[in-house]
Amino acid sequence: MGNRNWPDLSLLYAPEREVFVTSAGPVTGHAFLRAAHRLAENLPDQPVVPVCADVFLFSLLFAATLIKSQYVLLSSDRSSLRLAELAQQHNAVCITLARDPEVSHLPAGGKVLQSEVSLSDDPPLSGHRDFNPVIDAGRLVAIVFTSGSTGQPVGHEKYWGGLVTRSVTARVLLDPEAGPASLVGTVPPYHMYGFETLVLQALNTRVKTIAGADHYPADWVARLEKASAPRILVTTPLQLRGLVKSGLMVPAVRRVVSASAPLPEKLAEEAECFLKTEVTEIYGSTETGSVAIRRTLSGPYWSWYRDIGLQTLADGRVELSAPGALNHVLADFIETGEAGTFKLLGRVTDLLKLGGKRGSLAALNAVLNSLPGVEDGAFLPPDMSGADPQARMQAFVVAPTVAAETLLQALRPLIDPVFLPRRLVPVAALPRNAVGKLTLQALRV
Amino acid sequence: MNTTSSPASQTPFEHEVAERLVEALQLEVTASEIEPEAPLFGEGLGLDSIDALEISLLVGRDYGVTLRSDNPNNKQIFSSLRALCQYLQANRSSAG
Repeated sequence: MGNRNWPDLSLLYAPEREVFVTSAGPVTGHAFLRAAHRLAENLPDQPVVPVCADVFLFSLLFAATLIKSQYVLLSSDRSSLRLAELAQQHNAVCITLARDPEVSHLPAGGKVLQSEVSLSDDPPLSGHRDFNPVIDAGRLVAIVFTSGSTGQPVGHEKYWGGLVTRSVTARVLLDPEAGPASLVGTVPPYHMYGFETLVLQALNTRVKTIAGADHYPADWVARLEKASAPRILVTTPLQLRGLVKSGLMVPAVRRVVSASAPLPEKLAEEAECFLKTEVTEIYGSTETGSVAIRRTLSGPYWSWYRDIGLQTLADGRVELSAPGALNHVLADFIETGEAGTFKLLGRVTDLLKLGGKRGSLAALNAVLNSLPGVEDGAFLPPDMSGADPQARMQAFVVAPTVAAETLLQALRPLIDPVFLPRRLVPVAALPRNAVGKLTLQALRV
Repeated sequence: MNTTSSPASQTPFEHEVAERLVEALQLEVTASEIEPEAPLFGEGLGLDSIDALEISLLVGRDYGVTLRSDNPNNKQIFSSLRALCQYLQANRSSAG
């Protein structure tokens, strides 16, 4: 990886600028780096599982981890069980920062660290040679976990050179205006989408992020009000729908970016009308990060980011290559269009996506079937076309001796809340076909 | 838990809010089955962040109440149907 032209590989691009805006005010790169160094002094020499929902605190912990020459392990499954398991498997430590909303579900054995940020714009710590260290392009900085198709979480390694390159490439598309944009996100930083946009755009480009960890449309409006124009809203179809339905007065937004699930055209149209702006979607995955963009209402063709290489495999799937990243076979079939564009034709696998979380049906079914008293059971995912962004999971279970409520209680600590079945239907038997395979069609009746 | 009779303890307003919650959150219980004092999140109905968003839309639309994450009373507000209703009654706008 050493012999190509990398962009500026410093931990923080242009530290004299404002990088984040927190509830206490704007934080310059210098203030951010000082706080990260102070935090790094208290970090154990181990990989870190950040238990932080606040984008600013998460970014601070990520930067401190890099200063310590360690890496982070990111899980979109926030159950304490999963976080603890991840730390244990990788000899890592779960860390949260005081004031972060996730403090309350830090697993046993995790640490709460203090983070003091002085907002005064003092000069860099004098005599500190590596105040803003240049990080090797080939250094592992994060492993991002998703549920694999077999049910075992799979880690995807992220190297610094690749991440910075992709940030710089994406910036031109997300923020093409003359002056730097402010990002307001409604998505968490530990998910690849939020990590790439809200965390890495702020660290690696001119963009700043208005930090927060919140749930409600009124919170997002409050952060948009704190942001300087041009404002970019980084969100999902579910949350965009919430914002539009809230009817709140929203400050001028230059662009909406949506990812994590298909955006229904009708919602894109409503959002463009309500926010008087353009609504774009990002195409990507945990493995690849963002790789393409389109304005939803401009039709089905997506534009690839610069430097993305494509190779069609014998079975029709497409393998994608990007600088500084491992090659990856796309989970969708695509049809290539003109001048670096393509159209999605359909999913290769049936990975689940709900509320921005990704899960494996096989894994969920394995958990359900492991419960005492369950003879057979299967989850029925909602229609994944995006037509109903708030649709919920159901499950069918053959468990004559156990009440559905008891099973739900047993499931709760084991799986992410968004995958908890809203309806758990006791049945006498599941409709399995001749080879024992369950047909979703039969369950939907 | 499986009682189908309306708990005598639900006030008419609590029942109205319970009915709207059941509809908005696609809950698999009837409004009458929601215990007024049981926790709304975590245990009890096991509501999650998607539900939190739906509840914010419902109370904004029907009662003119805007939920904010930085409200220090959130834990109390979502501790039960009763607490939520008390908050709504204290904060609903006259237009709601």
